[in-house]
Amino acid sequence: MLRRLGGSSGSLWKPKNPHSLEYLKYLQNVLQKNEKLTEPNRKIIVEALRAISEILIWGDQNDGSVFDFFLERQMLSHFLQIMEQDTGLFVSVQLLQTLNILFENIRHETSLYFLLSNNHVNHIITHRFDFSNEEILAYYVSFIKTLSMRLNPATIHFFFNETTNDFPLLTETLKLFDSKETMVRIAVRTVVLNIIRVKEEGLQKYLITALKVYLCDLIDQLVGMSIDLDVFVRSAENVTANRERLRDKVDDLIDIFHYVGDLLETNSIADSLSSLLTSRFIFPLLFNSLIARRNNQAVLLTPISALFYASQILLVISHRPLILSFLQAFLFEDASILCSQWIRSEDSYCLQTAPLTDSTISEERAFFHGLLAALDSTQNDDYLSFYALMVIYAMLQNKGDVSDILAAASIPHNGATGTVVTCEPRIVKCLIDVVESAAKADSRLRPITLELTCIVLRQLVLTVDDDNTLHEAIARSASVVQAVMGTHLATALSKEQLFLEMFEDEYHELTTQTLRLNAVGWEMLLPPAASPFSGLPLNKRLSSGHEERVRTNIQLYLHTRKLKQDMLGEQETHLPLQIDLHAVVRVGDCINLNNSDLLSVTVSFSRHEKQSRFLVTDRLQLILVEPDTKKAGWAIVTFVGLLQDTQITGDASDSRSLHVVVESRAGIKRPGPLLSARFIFDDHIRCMAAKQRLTKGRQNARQLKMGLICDLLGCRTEVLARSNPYKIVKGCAPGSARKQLDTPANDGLGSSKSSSNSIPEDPVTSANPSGSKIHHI
Amino acid sequence: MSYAYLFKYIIIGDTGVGKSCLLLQFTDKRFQPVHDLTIGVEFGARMITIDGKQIKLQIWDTAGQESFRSITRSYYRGAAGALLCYDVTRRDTFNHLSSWLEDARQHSNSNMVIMLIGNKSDLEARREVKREEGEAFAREHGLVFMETSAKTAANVEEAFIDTAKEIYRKIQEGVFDINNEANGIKLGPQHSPSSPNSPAGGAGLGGSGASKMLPHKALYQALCRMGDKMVYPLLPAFARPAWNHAAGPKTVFFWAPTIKWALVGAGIADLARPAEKLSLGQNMALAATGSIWARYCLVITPVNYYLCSVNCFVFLTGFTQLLRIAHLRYTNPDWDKEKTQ
Repeated sequence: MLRRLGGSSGSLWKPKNPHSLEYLKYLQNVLQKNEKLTEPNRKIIVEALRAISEILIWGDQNDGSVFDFFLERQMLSHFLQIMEQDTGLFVSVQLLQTLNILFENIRHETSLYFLLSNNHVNHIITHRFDFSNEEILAYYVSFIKTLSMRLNPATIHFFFNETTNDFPLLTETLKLFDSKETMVRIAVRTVVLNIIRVKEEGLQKYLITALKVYLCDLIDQLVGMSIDLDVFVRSAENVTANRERLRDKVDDLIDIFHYVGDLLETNSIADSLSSLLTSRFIFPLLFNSLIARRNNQAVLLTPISALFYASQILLVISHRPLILSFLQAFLFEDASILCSQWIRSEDSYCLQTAPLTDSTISEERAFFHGLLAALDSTQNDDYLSFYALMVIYAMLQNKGDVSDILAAASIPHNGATGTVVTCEPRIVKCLIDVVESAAKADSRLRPITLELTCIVLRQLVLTVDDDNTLHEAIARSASVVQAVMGTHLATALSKEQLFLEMFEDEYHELTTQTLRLNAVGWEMLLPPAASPFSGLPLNKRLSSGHEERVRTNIQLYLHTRKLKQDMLGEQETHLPLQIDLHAVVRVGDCINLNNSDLLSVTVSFSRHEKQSRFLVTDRLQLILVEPDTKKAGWAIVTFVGLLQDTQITGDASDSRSLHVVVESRAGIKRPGPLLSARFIFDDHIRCMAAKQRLTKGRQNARQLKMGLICDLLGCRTEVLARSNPYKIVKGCAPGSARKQLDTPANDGLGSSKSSSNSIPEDPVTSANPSGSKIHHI
Repeated sequence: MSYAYLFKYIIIGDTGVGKSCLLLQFTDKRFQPVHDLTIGVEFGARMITIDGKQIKLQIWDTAGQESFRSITRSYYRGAAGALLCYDVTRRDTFNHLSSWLEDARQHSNSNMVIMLIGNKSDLEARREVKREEGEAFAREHGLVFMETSAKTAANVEEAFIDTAKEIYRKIQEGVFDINNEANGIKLGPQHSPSSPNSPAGGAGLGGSGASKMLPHKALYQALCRMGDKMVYPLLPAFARPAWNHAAGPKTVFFWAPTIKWALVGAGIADLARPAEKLSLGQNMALAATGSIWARYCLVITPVNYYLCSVNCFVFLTGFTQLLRIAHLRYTNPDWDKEKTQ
């Protein structure tokens, strides 16, 4: 009697150490005494549940006896008992969180097995929680997700009863598959993937039948979403708000493609899923939309969306059998394989076997011809051809081993081994047509389409046999387009004030921006937009207005130039526009000013911030220096800006000062000008001198670069390119002989071939070589 | 528990950097960090307050799902905020940050707020990544940076709450489209604070169809709201439950009987009139309606005691007048003749 009292005393009073077996015993007592859940003891139970999870994890990590006690007393059954009662939010959430913590943190296999034994967990899974409460739903879903993470061939039998074909974890999960909450849907997918991944024969067999309905629903959901997206694409205008909505829809759809791709990587259901995908989605919906309409009732997509989906399938899914059957049908079959179609029935769609219509449809390789026709549609615009290009690009990118079947269709693929493949002449012809359409007078080719065409062409010729006829053919048409664009630009060159800025901007964009096709794919889905209000960058839309036309032409010119050079294996020698790279001065350099014109200036950024500097200019740069205290005649550069970007305005109220703004170059992230300051000179004459020098320097610098562009475009220019002789030498030790750059006199016209060593002499300064050089002030 | 907004977060980073511990530390304060216990969760929710607004945070850990492209992709898209974690005692976890960030930027909504977290800052002795390096990385990529410790709970609150503040700021600026739940932000169930369960009054108070509301409904709701604000606080405690009663002042069931009190008033005023001038028919009608309606009020839904009381009084006044008439005729047998004279 006494012993019993004494023995149980440990669990009657609250032990001090919260991490001990004693404490667990006490908590078990608490639960036992509070079997009935009532309002007053709710708090006690919640805290007890929480503490239990904490002790168990502590026990798992530190003291094995804790777990033994937990199992001995069947404490999970307490959990069930509590659950059976009408628990309400807080207790339910606490229960689920406790279970979550248990299953996630347990490290010992044996502890896990003990927890899973007795089927309690399955009872918890099947318990009908109040899923209308989003918090309970979220905790429940993360609980089953945690469980699914613990699945492996050893633990699967705790969940899956092979004899009765009972698998509550799966069946309960599937009930939530179209929940409104995104996170819940994601969790459901995770659980399904985790289950499928378990390599256990009995389970795999079971899954084939158990998942049939779910997979069918999944594909039908895909069909519904694609039709919905297609309707949106047909009806929506190309503006930013619509593209946001479009992106959401496309992302949801591509998520499903990715999910299908992940599902296909498992052996058991891959076959049934891929046959579902082909028989319900690819054939009746995609392929049906690529040929002429045969049935009035059938739901068809626009070829735009159909090609887009096809390209996404090829980009996302790499399951070889599916891709092979897809490509086989796409490249070689005719319309006779289409034996079903989707029709609209009330609010949803249903699959119907299509009556085999007359024999007029038996055109060979109907889908392939559809693709070629789509490619060839550049007469109007490039809306459709862009997606045809995407499909070809995606074929070449597909990660499944597809080189054989592509070789059979005469499409060279860089994964091909052995014999060299020829390239389907019709495809090449279509691609060249796309390139050439850029040169047409009323061309509606967007630069991005040309860019994609160039990418596809490069990939195609990469592995093609190298008698170079193909390369040369492409290079020929590229150079034709390049010439046409060149003449367009040459006319614009003399008219556009800002041609130099445009050219350098576009070149910078081209070299730094790489085409991200997985992002671009959906942006082009809406009909081509022309106005800048659509919020699209210029290369993804049609140009509007003269300036944009010029920019577009520059882009087209640069793309074709690059294509030509790649085809001929030439190196780029002219771009980027550079003059005397080695003579560029940087901030912090120490330069010799012995022979330079110096102007003392006070640079005032604001009322308070003033700096005393000397202003120097060379052919391209505006330089501010601070005299070096150690070496006489030398100075340290504190600011460098390009003269071509400099704007100078006089100050009406103060004749001694100038406003100088140096715009930042393209590609520099920081917005706003590089320098914006007031230059205050000693007197008004020096101010005038500085203004003259800067204005002239700006003109000269611009003319130099314009001359380079003229060289590039191959047009003679009437612009007189001038230059000051080089006056600054940097990097020499003090007192050493000054490095003289030879600037050979030229005929003064900017039609010379290259940049650095043949810059023409400034006629004014060369006429007066020594006297006017030094103005020490 | 109601909230104004719900933000969904994800936690990303290499395994073993303490993501789940961080999450548990934030969502459940009752778990005290102890030296011999490592404990974490993959999901948690907690309510916080920003600018006086209740905001619920739902945090999802993506651990263990990296092998499925479809899953990580969807997670990124569904979140409004992300905590990108590394372990200051393990250089490799820091080196992997850029690939995590690239993934996140590629898949997520462009407005997603990303916070860089250097975890386990308590293990100063074993530190491999300097604080300055984390700061530099954050500056370079435009992230907010913080060093935390799930063990000592240092900065854990701040990490989650600062992220929420940043999201909230973006909402205020109108950058986030809050009506699109795919962005990881959800609007809470709106309801006026004092009418949680009034079926009749609450019918139009959902607030969801506000854009299409008819003018009379809008007026009604404005009145209700005004009453909630100005009248309700003045009510004594015992009267408060009546405010939102199904037959309370927000419904016609209250105002109809209130007007009917005028009949009672008129009836009482009639007491001053000489009995011979009272109409027998009118008072019979009053007494009859009063009695019939008083009974009727007790059988309808909602049972309306207020209407019952007013009808009782109508009956009583009518009946009193009838008694007076009867008394007059009884004491004055020739009342009929007087009238004809």
